[in-house]
Formats: sequence, structure tokens, C-alpha cells
Amino acid sequence: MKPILEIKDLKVYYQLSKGFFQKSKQTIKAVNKVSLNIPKGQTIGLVGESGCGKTTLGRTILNLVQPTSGQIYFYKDQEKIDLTSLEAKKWKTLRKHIQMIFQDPYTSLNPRMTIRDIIAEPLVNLKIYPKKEINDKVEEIATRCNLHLSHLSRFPHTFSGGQRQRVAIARALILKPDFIVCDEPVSALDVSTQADILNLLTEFKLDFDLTYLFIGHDLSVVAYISDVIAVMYKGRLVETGPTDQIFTTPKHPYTQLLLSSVPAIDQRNLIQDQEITIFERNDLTLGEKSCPFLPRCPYGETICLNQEPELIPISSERFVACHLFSSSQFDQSTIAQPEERPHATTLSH
Amino acid sequence: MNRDQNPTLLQVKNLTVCFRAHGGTILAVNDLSFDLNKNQILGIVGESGSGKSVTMQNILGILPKNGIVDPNSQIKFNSSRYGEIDLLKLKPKEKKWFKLRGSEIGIIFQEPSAVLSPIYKIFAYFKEVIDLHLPGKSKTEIEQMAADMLAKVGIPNPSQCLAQYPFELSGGMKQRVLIALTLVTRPKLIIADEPTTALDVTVQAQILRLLKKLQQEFELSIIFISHNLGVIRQIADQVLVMYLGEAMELGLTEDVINRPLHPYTSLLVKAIPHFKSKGNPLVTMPGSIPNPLERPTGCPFHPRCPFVLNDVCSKQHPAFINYENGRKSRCFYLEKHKSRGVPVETHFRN
Repeated sequence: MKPILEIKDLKVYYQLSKGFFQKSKQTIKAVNKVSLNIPKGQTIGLVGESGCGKTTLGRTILNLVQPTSGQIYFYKDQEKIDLTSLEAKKWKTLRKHIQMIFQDPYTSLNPRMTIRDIIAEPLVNLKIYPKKEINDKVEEIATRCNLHLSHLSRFPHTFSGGQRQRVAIARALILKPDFIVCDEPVSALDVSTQADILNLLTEFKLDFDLTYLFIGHDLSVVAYISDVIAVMYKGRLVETGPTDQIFTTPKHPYTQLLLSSVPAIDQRNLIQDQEITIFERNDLTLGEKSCPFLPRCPYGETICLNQEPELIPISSERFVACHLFSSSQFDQSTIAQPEERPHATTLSH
Repeated sequence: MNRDQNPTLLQVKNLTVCFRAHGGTILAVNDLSFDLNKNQILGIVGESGSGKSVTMQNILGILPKNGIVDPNSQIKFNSSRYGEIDLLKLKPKEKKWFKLRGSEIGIIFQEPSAVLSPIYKIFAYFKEVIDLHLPGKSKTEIEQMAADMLAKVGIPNPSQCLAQYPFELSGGMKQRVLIALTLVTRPKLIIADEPTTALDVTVQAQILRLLKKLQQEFELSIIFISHNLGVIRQIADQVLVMYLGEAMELGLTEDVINRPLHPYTSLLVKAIPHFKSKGNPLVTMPGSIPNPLERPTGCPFHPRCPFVLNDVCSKQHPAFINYENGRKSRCFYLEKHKSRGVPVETHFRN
């Protein structure tokens, strides 16, 4: 499948000053050597806990955050454009192709603009259509997003969260983009409106031939909408693969922990009679090259402390960054099968 | 549930609360009744505007000043100090409140970092709570009590934690500290208002396990408020489903979530996405939660209900009546089927 976006060795580091006189500097590696291919027409779900760098990665694609190093290639009509070294002027034309839907519809809409102006703003800014046509375009997309035309002259504060998110989607779609970064678009919404927005996003994906990078922390939402899942932990990608494979046979110990923590709707899978031991070792001093998951990993070995695991293929579609699958130090026959592993109660509902 | 063995701890009867607002009166809670037995976890689930927070505020006596409670409402609490007491009859500044709130009724809030001020060390919080509710303890005694409780909630190094500031702790650790802080006075009833919503899913699982363990150890009764049905399914014995301030369904958690009676519960369960349902559009509820000032007449859910009966639902208000297995629900559609003796299965339809 043709890629639409290719991320190569992307690093985003933040410098934190510590102490009054800024004596020592600490580097926060928000995104650390991330490489990811996003095929056209697919939805990539990016999951991980808070602070793992998933939002930073999404924002870097749109140049809202400057990367420290690495490349992001965007493919447009046979052309390969490096987004990290693009001039501001060229970005303006590219914005037509790459858009974003933000998490909180209560802060992402300007309270002093009417809904009509908010949806029209990208068209006005980029001057793609003559002024006369703008109105028609706004009404066309608003209807598609199930917004009442009579509501277009209202201000955002008169709308509920779900309606606001529909306005945000209309604003992102009006330029007919190819690629949209959805940064937790439903996490601020109620369950009943969440389903509505997810249906809308799925519908538009087919109709407009879109590609999504869907960032989320609610695994059931991400699993529902994504074709491929990428799991991040402390700035690194630890596992990628097709959604059903990741959910039925998670390989990386972190993915296993993550999936076994999801509360099921039809059974008590989290609270059982037998005590569940949580692995947490605070006595380890991690080096520059240690596996970041080591303190919480039940299978840790010396190699994990001294050598950073690379993201390697374990089948044609799946990649895992874990020495369990790459090092001879682990005898594959002694590794417990997923069913027997402490964290590996896979989702079964 | 061993209803006979466990005495009732809290009884909410016909609770009705209004708010004066610009443009009219908002009915926040309408005729809500439920019992909470000792040693039981009751889950309250509902979307925004369902009245779950207002119910909690009434039990704690912290209703905002513009809230008006109907004089026929009752919240009876079985206090070990005062015997059976109607919490709604207490005035906001009454001394009894200070003996109840914090020592007999505890609360765990949603956002631990918003509750703990960054300028005090953890020890200061324990000192404040213990000085207020268990006066006359020396500093070493307080330290000992606090450290014991922190160890119980799974803080690895309790004495070190007492000397730390809240910002030095992770979100999960802060929530553990808050749970310890609530439990140190040994309350009988705990109100947990979305205690895991701000946490990561792995930490959420740990906190849920911890709460269940502590509930058994201290024989607590917990009202667990959440919008997440999955979380409620894990921890609650009974669940109360609320919509626009009204109880829609009440019953054992397994019954209500796996075999919902009320169309609202049924749609709520079906709206939860899952990777196995990928490719099929999610079941949605038509319309959206109405503006509280434009409350629908009759059944509050009727404008969005796929089972609406044209002649009654918009005109009359359905009663909260009993169904099999101690379940209760409020729906004309269910009533109609019950009177015919037909089993109603809203979850198999549409």
C-alpha cells in the first residue's frame, strides 16, 4: 500500500532547566526515534498513557512543534515533501492537505466567531475559492456534519460538546484534506455523542478517501476506529500491527499490561479473587540505553538494562521493540505463552 | 446481595432538587429514591446533566446556595454518633455536619491534583484531618497513623511520602494518598466521584482493585459515581442509571449491564465501541441531551427513545416500578409488556 506519510527517526526533545540559576539542564525525550509509515486510506490508532508523547507526535506532523531531528515525508501526487524542513510559505499551501481535529471542542473554537465564520476561516485564509462560493461550501459541509443551517449564525457557547466537535470536524474537512490528525476527538464527550462522532468520522473517511492518525487513550474507541495500532511508551514506539492481531495476541509486555487493564463491559475482568501482582521495581537505575519499560516488566533481563530494544519485524505486518523477540538471551521455549503470562488476559468481549 | 444481613446505611427518599438559573428553574434531581446497605458498592452512572453530582452534594451537605431542595425529600443516614439522622434537615453550618463529613462520610474526588494544594507536604494533610476529627494526637502518633494507612493503600515508602510535596507524586500515587486521607478517620460511607477518570487505564485498574480490597477490609459502603459503564461493571454490586435527574433503572450490576431493561440503558451499553464491531456503525441515540431549561414533558427520555409509545410517553410521567430480581425501572413500554406477561428484551431489538 502506498504511504501518505512517512516518519523517520523523529526526535522531539525538550530542555528543562532545573534549579534557581539554571545550573543543570534536563532533557525530556517526548518523542524518541520514532519511525512510522502511514499508508493511504488507513486509520492509524496511536495509544499510550499520558505523557508518552502521542500528542507531541501528532502536533509535530502539523509543524505545531519543532522536531529536534528526523524527517516527516508527506506524499502528494508522486511528490515527496519533507515537512520538517519546509518554509512557512509552502506550509500554507500544504495545510490544504493536512488538517487537525483537537481534543477539547470547548477551547478549540473561538468564542467570538460565529459557527459560519469558524467553518469558513480556512477557506478565507487560503483564498482557494472566490468569496461568493465560500458560503455555499460552508453550508454544504455543515449539512454533511448534521449541523442545522439555521444554527450557523450562532456562537459556539450555545452548543453542546458533540455539536461543537461537529463544527471542528466541518472546519477540518472544508478544505477536502487528504490526511487528518485527530487528537483525542471524543474524549471530552458523553458516551452517546461519542458514538455519533465516531460514526461521522468513519463515514467521511470512506466518502472523502481520508487517512487518519487517531490519537486516543480509550483503547476501545481506538480499536473500533483503527485499522492499525501503534503503541507508544515513554516517547518510543513499542509495538505496531493490525488492530485485531494486537488485540488478540499482544506481544510487547506493555501492550499486554495495557490491554489487560481495560475494563470489560460484560464481565469482571479486573477484579478477581486471586491477588494480581503488579511488577514495579524502583531499585533499578536506568541507563541511557535501557529499555524504558524495564521497571514494570515481569521478564526483565540484563540485556534490557544495557541495550536498547529496536523496533523489529516479527511478521510481515507486526513490529515489536522488545528483547523477548530479538535476543538469544531469552530462550523462546521458556517464555510463557500469552495465555499464561501474568498480564496477558486478552480482551474477550 | 444479602439484603437481610446488611442493615441499610443510607436511604435517599424522593429527593428533588431545583436550581434557579437565568431563564427559569432547572430540575436537577427529580424524585430520586435508593437505599445503600452496609458493605455494598452502589454505582451511579449517567451522562452530563444526569444529576449524579447534585445527589452527591446533597449527601455531603455541600449543595450550592442557589439549589432548592423539595421539603418532602429525605436522606436518612445511619450515624454511629447520632443514630438515624436526616441529612437534609441539617443546616449548612451545623456542628453535626463537621462531625459527620470527613469522619463518617468520606469523599474521593475526580482530579487528585486539583484537591491537593502544591504548597503543603503530604504530612500536613494528614495532620489537618486527624486534628479535626480525632483530636489530641501527638505528632508521632499522627505520623504512625498516616504511615500505616499509606502502606495499606500501596505506597511503597510511606515515611518518605509524608515528607514529599504533591507535585513530586504521580497521578496514581496522589489518588492513593487521597484514598488514605479519606480512610484515616475510618468513615462508614465513601462517595467516590469519578475517582479514576483522570488516570491512565493501567493505573485505573490498580485503583479499582485497591478500592475493592479496602472496601472488604474496612467494611465500607461506597457510592461510586462514574460515566464509564465498564468501570462500574468492575466494581459495583448494584447500579443506578440516571438520565436528566431521574432514576431510569436500578438493579444488580450484572443484570443491568448485561441485560438492560430500560431503552436508555440498552442504548448506552450499545454505544460503547469495540474492535469486534469495527466496520459496523455504532448504535447511536437520536438527538442529544436536551437543554435543562427545555425539559421534555412526560418521560424525560421520550424524544430520543426508539420504543416511544405515542399516546402516553410524552404526556404522562412513568413510575419507577419493580421488575423481577429486585430490579426497578421507569418506562411505559416495559409496563405494557409486563402487564401482558411478555418478557421484555429491549437489548435484542433494533
